[in-house]
Amino acid sequence: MIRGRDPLAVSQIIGDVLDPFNRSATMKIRYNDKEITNGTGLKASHAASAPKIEIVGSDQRKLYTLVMVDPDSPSPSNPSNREYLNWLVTDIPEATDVSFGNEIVSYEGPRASAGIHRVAFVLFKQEVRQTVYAPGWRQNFNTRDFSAFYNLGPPVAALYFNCQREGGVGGRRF
Amino acid sequence: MWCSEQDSNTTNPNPVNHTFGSSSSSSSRSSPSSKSSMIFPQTPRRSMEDVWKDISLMTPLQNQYHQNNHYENQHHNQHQNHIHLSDKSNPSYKGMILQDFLAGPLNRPVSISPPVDNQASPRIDHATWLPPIPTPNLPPTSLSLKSGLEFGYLGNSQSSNSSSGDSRATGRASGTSSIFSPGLSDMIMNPASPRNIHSFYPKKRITEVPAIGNDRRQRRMIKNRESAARSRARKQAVTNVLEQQVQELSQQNEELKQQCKELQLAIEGKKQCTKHGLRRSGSSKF
Repeated sequence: MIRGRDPLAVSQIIGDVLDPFNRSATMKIRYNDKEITNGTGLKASHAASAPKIEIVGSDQRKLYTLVMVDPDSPSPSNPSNREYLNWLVTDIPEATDVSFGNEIVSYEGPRASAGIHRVAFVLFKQEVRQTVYAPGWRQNFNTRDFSAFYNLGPPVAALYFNCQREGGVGGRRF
Repeated sequence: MWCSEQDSNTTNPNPVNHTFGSSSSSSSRSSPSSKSSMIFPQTPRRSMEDVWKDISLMTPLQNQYHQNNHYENQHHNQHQNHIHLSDKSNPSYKGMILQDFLAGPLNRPVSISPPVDNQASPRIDHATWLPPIPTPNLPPTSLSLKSGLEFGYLGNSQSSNSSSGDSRATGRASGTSSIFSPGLSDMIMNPASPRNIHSFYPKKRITEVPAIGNDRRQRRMIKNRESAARSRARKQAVTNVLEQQVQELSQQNEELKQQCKELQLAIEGKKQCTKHGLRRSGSSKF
């Protein structure tokens, strides 16, 4: 299962959530001024409030859609809610922070009651300003279907981190 | 280990010592047990044809055997029980004494014609059977029911087995078609057989086990395995990220150093120039 060197592939984000794609944009994601990279471990409390996400670039006419999903919900060994939609923001201009976009589904901190969850941020480029409708519920979201439905095409950037609960995971379950 | 799981298998708790003695389970095993510390005998040479014949015999039997219907097997065994020993305490097998048996299957006297059709019950206890290679179906941790079979083979008196093992074990009194625990026993019995190659890698087992047998443990094992795989993937991902960073940073460092050098040279150059030139600067208003 270990394919190549890309952390997204190794962790099966490419596989479970996305198909392979070419990176053409960069996001900088900061939780409480801690910049996260692929595979960073965070406690749930650290990720409770929305991060600052900056899309690197200079052309403010380009618009992006951001999706934040948890493919390991409710637990990585039993991901029956895959994927759980934590956040959905559209019409984010390049070179700005996510807060300048249209928040369709409000931010929800990843709920990591069992196991270590991968939480992925996926960025799509929008051709036009479009209306995106919030899904009826957060669980069992499908990023692939979503991007197909709204003609977003393949993602342009993705980043994931690992989230676990406060007390840490593992150990004997009483 | 499977050994310790079997309540009957008390005489020889050491699972690593794959002697036949360790597999037998009842009191009358004392004789085999004592012989379990034997020195493994050499198997005499056989022609390749014989060996291949045995193999072809073995394969259909073994496949059928491992249909997980051991009861059925046992039933069959009891049917054609003439080849089985009724006397449980007798460690011999079809008139063979134990030493002959232990001398290896390859030199067993062929007293019964081997089953011709694949439908034959897995009476692999025929004289010329090779001990079945442990198949992927039975990981070492397979317990109780199956392990009863594994140890039943020494042909006797499995009476003190667990009940399930017992019923089967008696059926296979003469150590029919038992599944050897992987490892030494296989190697000892069949050093010459091409199938021995498997036995040299006894620990590598395919993980998918009959979902029925011993559920909880198997499920736990599988879950744990997956969890371990995820953990390894996480670790690998982090390592990759760090490696990437290291690479980028070293590159940046090189570039910066280069820039630094160039800038310093430039500064030097400038200094040289100004030393020689006249300093002209305006100081008055006009």
